[in-house]
Amino acid sequence: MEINYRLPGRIDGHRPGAHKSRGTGEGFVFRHLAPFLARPDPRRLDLRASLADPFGGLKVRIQEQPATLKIYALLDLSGSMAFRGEFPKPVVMADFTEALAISAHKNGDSLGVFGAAERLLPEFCLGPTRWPESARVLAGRLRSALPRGVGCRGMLTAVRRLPARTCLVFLISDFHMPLSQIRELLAGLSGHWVVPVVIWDEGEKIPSAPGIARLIDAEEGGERLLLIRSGLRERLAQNLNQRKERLGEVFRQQGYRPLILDRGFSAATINRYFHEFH
Amino acid sequence: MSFSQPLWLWLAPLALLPMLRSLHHGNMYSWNGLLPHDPLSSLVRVVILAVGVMAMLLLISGLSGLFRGEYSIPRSGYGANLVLLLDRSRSMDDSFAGRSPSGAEESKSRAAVRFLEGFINSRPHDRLGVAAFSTSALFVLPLSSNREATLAAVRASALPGLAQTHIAKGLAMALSYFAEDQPSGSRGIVLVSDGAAVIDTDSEALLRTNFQQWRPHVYWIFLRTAGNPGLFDSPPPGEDTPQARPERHLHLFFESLGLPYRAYQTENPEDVGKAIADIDRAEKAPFTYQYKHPRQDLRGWCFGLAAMALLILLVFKRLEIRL
Repeated sequence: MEINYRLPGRIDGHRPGAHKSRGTGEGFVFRHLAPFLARPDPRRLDLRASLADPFGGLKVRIQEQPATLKIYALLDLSGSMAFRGEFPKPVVMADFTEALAISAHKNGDSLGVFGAAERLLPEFCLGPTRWPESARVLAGRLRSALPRGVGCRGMLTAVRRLPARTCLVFLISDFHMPLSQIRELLAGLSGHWVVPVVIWDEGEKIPSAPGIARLIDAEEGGERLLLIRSGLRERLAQNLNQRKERLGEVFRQQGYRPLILDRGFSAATINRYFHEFH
Repeated sequence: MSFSQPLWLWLAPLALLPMLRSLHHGNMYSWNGLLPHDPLSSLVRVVILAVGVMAMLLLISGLSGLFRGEYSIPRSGYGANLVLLLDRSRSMDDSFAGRSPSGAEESKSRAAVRFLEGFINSRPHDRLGVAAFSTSALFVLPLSSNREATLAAVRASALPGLAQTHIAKGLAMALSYFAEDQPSGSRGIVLVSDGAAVIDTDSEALLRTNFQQWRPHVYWIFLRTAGNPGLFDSPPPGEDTPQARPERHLHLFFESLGLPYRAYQTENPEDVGKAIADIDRAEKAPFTYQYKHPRQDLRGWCFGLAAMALLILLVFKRLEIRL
């Protein structure tokens, strides 16, 4: 399970890594020619260019230097993420974090994790590290976690703690929150590459059998009694589709495309997302 | 509406329980904001709440012994307020021939009861009271519209009799029924006896006052035993004293009251029937009266309705699905 994340553009990186960057150095991709004195490395001499120079100056080839990237996963741990239907959301989040840690390790990138609800939850936070083991431990805790927070103020705190340098940020949530809050969150992330990971569950569509079900809001605790029948189920499915569209709209306004995981963690879906978009 | 065991009403706050705890298991849902607005579901929720509270209230009312107290409604009909004053002296157990009935013979009391039953059954609107007398007056049944009670009281008087005939006390008792009940409409006293006794002067004065106050129609069915002097025979001079001819003197007393009065001297069961038919014809004035509904126990209703409510809740519970 690996996530072959890619970036749509170049980053500013100093440490040699796997991502296209604006830096120059030892990579394979030719960037441009420069006078020898700009980079006095005889191994980089370009004979053909030097001979062709009418002034007889020596030219060296400047190559691109791939750089490492800082990756952050922002986990929404509010009550709504506790929904355990067909594909329990905490498990999907854990799988995702774990795969991300392994991939980051292989690419030489560092991964930081912020878990938050109405505040940051230290037991689900991780400083940027290249070592996947600590992320794996965190994922293990996540698997059995029962998120019970309210709101997403902690996510905003996490956004403020991100480094100023461009990072790849995975915003992992079901986004069951007012659109204004999502906009606020995205505004805070404007300097970064953001992948909104929308974790939904097929079970949120409510089962097919008719009957009476009492639903308690996982986050705010309000309850609704529903007389479930086919008409109502259609209306709920409509609501969910509408919500999906509205979410997509909000993300697109900021230049992001949502990565929707509504059938559990699927590396194929995620990799397709990166192939299609970038 | 009242309660016979009101202490159980302390449980009434339990009726709020359905508001606190839901009938259905709570399923966690990620965001209720996603759920569509559905009036039918809201209605179902309110119905379940209401039925739950009702079930509790009905059970508690049932435990508290809910009943509807006695009440009366005015009714009108053709009839009268009649007090049946029955002689329970031992001589009533004899036949008209003056001996213990044997074979096909019928005692005087039985004959009287037989015709009175028919009389009562044929007059649905009467308010009837029953009093009896022998050595002393017997309070049997106050004026009421309850047919069954009256019939039972009349039948009971056919049981073997007691001792003497003390008619003044009996009449006073019958008149006291009117004092107690203050009935509207025409009043009547139907005296059934086979003899009379001397009314002493004090009692006579008192009776006179009471008769004047209530002014009942008086019917006397005199069950004359063979050989006894009749009401209407003039005795030889010297024998015409109350002590010697108490029946005749009672007859004269009634006549002297100035009230509508009829005496029937009967010498066999058929005469009794004719007399009673005559009274039936005479007492047919329209009158209004208060019909008393007896106290009604509503516990059955409470528990029945509670069972129905619980059944409805059971149906709703069976419809439950869990996510």
